[in-house]
Amino acid sequence: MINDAALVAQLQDKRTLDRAFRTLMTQYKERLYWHIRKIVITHEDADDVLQNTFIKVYRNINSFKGNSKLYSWMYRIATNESISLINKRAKTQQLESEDLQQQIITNLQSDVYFEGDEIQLKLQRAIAQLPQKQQLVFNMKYFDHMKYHDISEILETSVGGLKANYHHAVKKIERILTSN
Amino acid sequence: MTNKELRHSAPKLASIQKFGTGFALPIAYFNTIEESFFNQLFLEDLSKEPGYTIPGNYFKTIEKKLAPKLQIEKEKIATNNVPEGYFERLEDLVFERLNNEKKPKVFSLKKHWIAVAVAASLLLFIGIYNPFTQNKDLKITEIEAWIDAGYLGLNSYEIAAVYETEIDDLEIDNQINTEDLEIYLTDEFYESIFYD
Repeated sequence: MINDAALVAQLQDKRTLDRAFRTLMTQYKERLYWHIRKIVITHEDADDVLQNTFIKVYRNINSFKGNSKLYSWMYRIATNESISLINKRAKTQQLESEDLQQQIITNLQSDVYFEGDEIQLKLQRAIAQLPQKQQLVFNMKYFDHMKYHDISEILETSVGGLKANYHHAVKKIERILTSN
Repeated sequence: MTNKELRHSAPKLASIQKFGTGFALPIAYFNTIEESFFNQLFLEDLSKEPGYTIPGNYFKTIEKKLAPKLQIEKEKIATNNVPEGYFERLEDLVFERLNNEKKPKVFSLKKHWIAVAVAASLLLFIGIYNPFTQNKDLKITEIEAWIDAGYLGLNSYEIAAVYETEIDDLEIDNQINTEDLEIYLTDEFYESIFYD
């Protein structure tokens, strides 16, 4: 696997951009997809957001200064694109984004790309009830086992704040799962 | 929060962690992402780029190139409505005409000396004899009567000489019909009977 510094150098050179970008996509497409999917829930939206994310990365690669890790930068773009899609759709449907998320979860039962059982559906419904920041932290920690330090770089939040967010999220979800 | 802590503080959540999200994907989805991406990139560029190029300094020189054509169009528009600068010169044109109209017409005394002589003698006579002092409303009929009485002192030839037109050149308006003539003569006849 090519290291980030070498890859960035190739990405910022027009002659090697396209080839290097294919490499970048191959390395990060699955991780980014699942990160996006957990926010927007449906495959179709995840696919749209993933492509938009890569296009933004492609268009703005020259503005990447290397102050953060490349994947942190891409995760940040992916996160913003995902939240932006949810908010835009909520606005279009004149709903609060929390209500829209509940509606998406309800539709998940008939989604061909959802293979979860009752408890997994209940888990998704519980996550959707969390504040947006807690949702992000919970998904990255509980499902992706990401380190707080990396999450901190992506969400630009202190590690202490993230730990608190995760703790509150866990408690709340456990309560929902164990309730009738 | 470690796994151990999770099991301790949220045993239900910890027990289902291994099942994941339950989300699925279309078969071989990740194999097509790169191609899909480059296709979308191509389409985006296609919709932004018109596909043809322009000379490098085209937009910098367009005003200069267009200026003469715009001037011609401007002149055409001016011709279709009013001449160029018409409204700027309008006041001068109007005052020029007004000044011309104010200038008195020159009356040639040499050319009309006889008429002048007639008028002068008439005025002199009026000044001396002043026959109209009792009646300020001088009427045409009274002047005619005064001339008929022979006070003017000009014969027919002298009067005729005032006019440059020869007698032979005069066109007589012969529009009197026979009926009118008969009525006139009859009236003249009866008048002569009554007054003579």
